[in-house]
Amino acid sequence: MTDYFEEMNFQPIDEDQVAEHQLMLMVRFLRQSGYDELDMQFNTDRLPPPTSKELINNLKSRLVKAHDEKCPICLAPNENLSDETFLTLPCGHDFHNECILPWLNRTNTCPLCRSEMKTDDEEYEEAKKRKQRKQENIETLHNSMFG
Amino acid sequence: MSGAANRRLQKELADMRASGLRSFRDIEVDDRNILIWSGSICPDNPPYSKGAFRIEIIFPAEYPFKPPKIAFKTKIYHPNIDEKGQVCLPIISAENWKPATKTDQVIQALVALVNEPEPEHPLRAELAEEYLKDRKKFMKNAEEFTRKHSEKRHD
Repeated sequence: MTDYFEEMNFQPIDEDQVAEHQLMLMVRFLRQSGYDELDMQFNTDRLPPPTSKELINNLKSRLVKAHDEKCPICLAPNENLSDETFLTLPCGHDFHNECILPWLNRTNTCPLCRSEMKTDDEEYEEAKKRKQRKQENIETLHNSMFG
Repeated sequence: MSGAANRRLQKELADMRASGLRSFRDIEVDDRNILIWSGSICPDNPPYSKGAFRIEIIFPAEYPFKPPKIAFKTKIYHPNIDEKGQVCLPIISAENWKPATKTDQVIQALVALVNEPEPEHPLRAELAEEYLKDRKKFMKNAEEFTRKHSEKRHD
């Protein structure tokens, strides 16, 4: 029988390095067990970051006609607001220009359906991608077993 | 207070008064401060169906960009409402809030919670345990408590 270390092509750890390796194991364990999500859950009071400036500047707009549909934020009919603009989000929901902008400058969800939009926060986007990849991995694993 | 909060609350108040919710009555709003509402919750299900429970809804100046807060002013024997009248309602938590949520939807969520307690997420663990393990005793205690502490109902 071959030696375990030889077979796996591993190097045994020196006595004085054990502590360091245990620390790395701990870090790996936390990452794999979803420490990122835990971190997100603890910060529940914090809303996701503002919507990307570029996305906001490129939103489609249209002029409101009198007696058009109501804006879901201010709930006001448009009787006296015929010069106001509606902005349409990527999900298709639209709101008064002046109602939606303060919200988008604060967070990245649609006030009606909560669908998420792109942000300018790199850390947030990275964490979101990681989460998505993890979900895909789980699905691939699941499909390879039961698919 | 921003004009936006004021205008939207005027509209919501008028709509709610016009529609006349059966389970939320006697809405009172201070003329000088539309950010504070009060009203009576009238649940349909026993053990609360014989009482009315005063609540206060406090809207932030940033409404509807920040959620309102709700507190019970009438004591109630309920696993999800604590002795101070605080209630944990997911629809108005910071992470679930969306500006398109209207106050009548919040009230309906609250009435649903009063009618159907959620012992899985209790604020009063001892009442949740009683609710799960000895429903008869819970109903008896809650009915008794309702008779003693709740407001009169004009059905």
